[in-house]
Amino acid sequence: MKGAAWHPQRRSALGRVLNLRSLAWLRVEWHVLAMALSLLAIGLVFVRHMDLADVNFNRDEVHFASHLRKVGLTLPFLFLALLVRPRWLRRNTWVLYGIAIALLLLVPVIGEERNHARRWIRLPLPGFDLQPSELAKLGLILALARVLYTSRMKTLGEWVRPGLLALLPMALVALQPDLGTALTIVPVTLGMFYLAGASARRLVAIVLLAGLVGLGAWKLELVRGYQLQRVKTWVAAMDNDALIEGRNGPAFHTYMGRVSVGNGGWFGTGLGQGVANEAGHLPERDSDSIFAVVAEEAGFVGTGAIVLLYTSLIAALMISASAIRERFTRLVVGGIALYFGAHFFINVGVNLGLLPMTGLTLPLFSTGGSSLLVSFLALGLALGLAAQQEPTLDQDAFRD
Amino acid sequence: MGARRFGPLILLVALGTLVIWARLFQVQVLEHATWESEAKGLVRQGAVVPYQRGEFHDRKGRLLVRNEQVYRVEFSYRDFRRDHPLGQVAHAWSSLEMRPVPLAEAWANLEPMAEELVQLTRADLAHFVDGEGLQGSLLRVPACDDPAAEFRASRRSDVRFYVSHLLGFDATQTLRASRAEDTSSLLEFAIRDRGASSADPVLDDLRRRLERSKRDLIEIAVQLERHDRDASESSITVDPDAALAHLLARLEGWREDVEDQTAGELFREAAGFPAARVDPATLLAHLDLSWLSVLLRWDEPRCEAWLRSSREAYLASLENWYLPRMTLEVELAPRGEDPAQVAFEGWRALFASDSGPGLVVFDQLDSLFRLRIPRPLRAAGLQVLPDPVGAEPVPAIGGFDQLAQLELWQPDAGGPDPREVAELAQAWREHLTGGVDEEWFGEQSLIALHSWEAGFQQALGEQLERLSALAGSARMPIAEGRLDRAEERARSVLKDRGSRTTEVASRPDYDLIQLVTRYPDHFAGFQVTDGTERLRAKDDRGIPIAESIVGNVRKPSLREVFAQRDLKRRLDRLIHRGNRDADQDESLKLLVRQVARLDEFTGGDGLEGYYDRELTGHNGYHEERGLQELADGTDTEDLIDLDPIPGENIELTLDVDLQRAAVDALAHPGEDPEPNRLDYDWLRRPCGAIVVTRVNGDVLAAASYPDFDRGGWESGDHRDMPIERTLRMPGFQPPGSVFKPFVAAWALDRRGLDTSHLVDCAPLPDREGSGYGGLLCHARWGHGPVALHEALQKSCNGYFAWLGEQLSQDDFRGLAAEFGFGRPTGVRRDRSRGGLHEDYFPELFAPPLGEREYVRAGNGLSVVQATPMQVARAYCGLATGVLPEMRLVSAVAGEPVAHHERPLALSVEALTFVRRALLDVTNSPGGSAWRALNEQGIGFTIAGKTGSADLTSTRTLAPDGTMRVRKHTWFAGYFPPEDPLFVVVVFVDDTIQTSSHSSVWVARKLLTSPEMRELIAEELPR
Repeated sequence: MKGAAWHPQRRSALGRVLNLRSLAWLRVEWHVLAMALSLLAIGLVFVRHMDLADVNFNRDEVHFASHLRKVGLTLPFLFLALLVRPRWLRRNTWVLYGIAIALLLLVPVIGEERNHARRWIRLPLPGFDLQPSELAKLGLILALARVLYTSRMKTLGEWVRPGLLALLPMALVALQPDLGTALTIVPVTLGMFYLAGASARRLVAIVLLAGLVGLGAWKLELVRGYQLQRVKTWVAAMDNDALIEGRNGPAFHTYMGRVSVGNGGWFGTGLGQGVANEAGHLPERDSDSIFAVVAEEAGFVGTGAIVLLYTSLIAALMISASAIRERFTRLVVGGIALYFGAHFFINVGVNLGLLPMTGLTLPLFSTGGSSLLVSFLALGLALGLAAQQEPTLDQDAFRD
Repeated sequence: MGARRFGPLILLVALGTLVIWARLFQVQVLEHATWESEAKGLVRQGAVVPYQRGEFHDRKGRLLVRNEQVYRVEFSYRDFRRDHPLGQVAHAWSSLEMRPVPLAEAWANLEPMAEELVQLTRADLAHFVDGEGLQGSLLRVPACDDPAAEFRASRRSDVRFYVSHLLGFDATQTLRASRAEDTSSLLEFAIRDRGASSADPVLDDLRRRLERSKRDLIEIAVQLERHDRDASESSITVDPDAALAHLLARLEGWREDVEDQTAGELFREAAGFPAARVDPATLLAHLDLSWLSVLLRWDEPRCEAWLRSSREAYLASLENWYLPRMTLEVELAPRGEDPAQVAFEGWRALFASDSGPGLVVFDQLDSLFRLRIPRPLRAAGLQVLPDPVGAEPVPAIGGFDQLAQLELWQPDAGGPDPREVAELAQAWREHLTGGVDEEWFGEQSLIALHSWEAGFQQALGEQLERLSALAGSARMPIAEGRLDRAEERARSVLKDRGSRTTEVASRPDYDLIQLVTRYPDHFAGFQVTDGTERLRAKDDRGIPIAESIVGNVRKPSLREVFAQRDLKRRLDRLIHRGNRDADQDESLKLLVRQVARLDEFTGGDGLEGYYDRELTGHNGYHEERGLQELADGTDTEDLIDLDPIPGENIELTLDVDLQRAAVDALAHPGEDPEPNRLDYDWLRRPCGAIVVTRVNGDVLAAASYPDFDRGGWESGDHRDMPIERTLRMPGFQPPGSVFKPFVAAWALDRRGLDTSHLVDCAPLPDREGSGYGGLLCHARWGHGPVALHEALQKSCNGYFAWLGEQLSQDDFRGLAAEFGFGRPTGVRRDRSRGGLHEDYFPELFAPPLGEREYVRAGNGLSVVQATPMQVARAYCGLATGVLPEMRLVSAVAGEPVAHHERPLALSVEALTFVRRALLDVTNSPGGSAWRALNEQGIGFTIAGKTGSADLTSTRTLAPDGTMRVRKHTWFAGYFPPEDPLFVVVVFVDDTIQTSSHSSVWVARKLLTSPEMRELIAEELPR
């Protein structure tokens, strides 16, 4: 600009949060968005057929219209998050983290108890309840990115702060009680530690230590009976005959899931035609166990393709993150990729019997407003942050 | 560096993908067959198909016993509550008010309640779900702080379901109504959907349907009441209000049963032990059962009522079910196994946990509650009952000592006294070894069980008190994982229990069947089903024909159920196993054939019992196609479709008509025309038996009377009991003078008796009457000198008293054997089989005869006893010279049952002489049966012999003023005399009149019956 003095742009308050004018749309990873929306569409198809099956068999468990409404309510958040400015995000990380923690602290006070756990906060929106633990994961990703942004995780001292940051929401979630969700924070946290520069060996050591702690907790019976039961059931279910024999006991859910998956064969039973939908015995068909329904109805070929699509999405997010020069943003996007990865592998692992039963949804597939909200927020953030690589002079600007 | 770090993570993702693919491949491809079978098993239903038990036919192929399809009216509470307006209103109201609204209350307020329900708007229900209260003209739903805990969302779904059905929505309308976005009520939706201009038409329609449902329920109540009172006569009126009240009470009772069973199952799912195992007061004091109340829409009093009733049932089952089972276990313990040990283990099992060492309930406490139970608290005090097994070494005395210790243990007193242990152990040993003393074992077991139970409840109560104190709340909530399981299953358990049907009316009349089948929509919950019943041909009085011979069926006994329980368990496991390989399929088919159903008939007594093996068929098995297979038409060749194999039919030698005639002859006996010679008491209470047989042994009629209970079981008088009398001897039963022909034949053949020898039957010197050798003859002044022919004709006791003296004990033994007395007649060739029973005395004439007994033996008295069937067999032999084996069955499964006979080792001359004499008994004046059975009187010629045998020396006043002793009387004869084809034996039990005035007249009644005439017309040559 010849002869002109450069004045920094004055932005509105909203403009400080959202990049309303200068988002490099061409730099948005549209293929990632396409993959995500494809997965969403596939999930919608399966939920729709669950609803139809319910009507056929006179059940009232899955409501496609309600799910569609929640998608409609939460999808705009993807585009909203797309526009969030990285700098604003970095500056307000602690606020966001604080809000997430505050919500977690509020849950025992104002939260709604369902199935003997207090995990939801009722919202004014009809049929929409907020699960703060989901938001807490996103908040944690931001907080960890904020801390790890200036840390290389070389000294032990550098582990403490991020460790405590992660332990706080973990503990609060575990007290709800929601041990499954609490445990998904672990791979995200450790993954971000790694991305930040932590030694792989140290991380492996931590994992082993955690395993020992878990074993100790089990032996000292610090875990609750039913949680212990889930581990016992998982171990017993490794033998098919034992699983079949014990199908009417604690292994009921595992058995039903395994039957659904196994019944899929090469090409699946067809949409809405599987025994999971027809007999209706599989618990949480539309949420935690949706992968089993997909596996049954799509078969090995179809499910394999969906798995590939999903893991491609995760990998694409990671690739997208790797291309980000700015460290904070890179860590956030990386954390989001880890969030999707952890959820995916844990949920699918549970449905395939590779992991003990835990109540975890499959993002973009499972019904549930909170899951959708956080998934879209996370995706939007990932896409937006990757597209809005603002120049910084942080240390990583000069690092490879 | 930052970017490079993603490389290993992406690699991990790739690795994870491969692991998932591999696992998918393993489960979906490699194990596909396994899981596909399991999936099919989830939607496949198999059921055992009952076989038809074999039938009985008479000689002409007429059905005597058959299986008949009979109708039953059954009731399903689930269908009633879902489809009947009364059920819909009551349960919708219950869902809202969270209390079990009685059907009677719903009935009384049906219209206003229904109208209020249909006018509930979506907004009202949304507020309800949010925890707000609802107030209507009748509706009172308080607000609550924790709507989630009260399952208000689920209750709203239930209300919408019931209201949709109340408004008569079909599936499409229900779906559209549920998806309607506005906040209007279902009534408003119905108005719009039907295009009505206002609510009136819809409400009018609702009212009409409610009114009709009320009328229909009253109608069926009246029909059921009529059925219950067997009011087939139209003159009997039924009060509709009373009938309705009765039906509503029954419906309420069924509802309670369904809910109680559901509660029991859900509690067990959540707690891990049955609720009945713990005292209700303890449970109510220490456990939070609000979750159960919410699931079942109960209030607290209802919950308490369930706990109390299930506990009472459990305690009653200890005595009524558990103890007999325990006794049987001990009795059936394998040889070498200590019965005391078996008993001990059985008692322990009541208190021990299935999952390992520990006590039932106690070892669940650890994980039962949300409260974390500290280790020390868990460990201390749980072992409240002494458990010597595996703990301290047991003294050498073994199981008896343990049993005694356990019985004597008291919770407050510490260990038992060693001396008492030794004494009680000895007592146990005496009562258990060498056969179980059932009564004593039962009494002692009850004492021990109640003592243990008291200690157990006390210890449990104390433990729960401590936990409550720790929790800081009296009622402790159950752990959420456990409740999750129960809640997951709640709907399916309620559905399952509610779907089980109850029989309401068995063999209903046509009106009731018509009502339910023609208008099924009007009588939701009620359905007509068919089943099989074992039906017997009956006579005019409604009594089954030849019941005592044919016998009855019964359900399997506890012993029989026990004997096959392992097989049953294996069968059940295979049936419920979705994934079966070929071997397992074959095992299932084999087991289905072997294992008897619990509702299966089995032979009880009579021929049903004797031929049970042949009559019993083999069950089949049928698997129905599942939903998946129906949807995609999958090949169903692998379904098991095993046809049942029916039992074999039995062809009897009996003739239904002759059997009826024989019973009729006993029930309405012919009477001596001389009124002074009647036994009015006997005529009022006839008791006896008749056998009609072919001379080859084929029994045409075997009638026993009475064939119904005349109060005999209560009084103990066998003459009034419906027992089998042709093959059995309920009391002392000498044949009397019908035995004389055999004595005569033997004496003629083996002793060269001079037929002209005279014996003076003269008045006795020392007392009133006539006779010989101290034996009285029936002729008061005696017959004078008589030879054999006349003695037979007139049945002279004096002559045969003399003849008896001429024979030796070996002679009597020989003649008895020759003519089959004291021997089985052949109706039970296979004596290893049960069911049919026959009395005989193999020791007949074995003990040495005293001097005076020879005279009696010659007259068929005292030392001789016989059944009517034995007498009939002997007369077959006498008539033809060939002694047959008697048959009641001519063919089994179409295969003839072999005839067996042997020629008598007696000369034709001897037999012919006797036969001529017998002809004169009935056809010469002076013959003892002449008046009743001469040819003119009955229309054909019969040869035979009368007989009377005193039972006691006590005399009874007869109508003619004389004092007479009680006696049995007989008539045995055959016809036609020249070529005998048939034998008839009549036995009159305990009368004061002689045979000439009793049995011969009964015989006359039979021989002149139309049925007998028909037989003669059919088979006798003209």
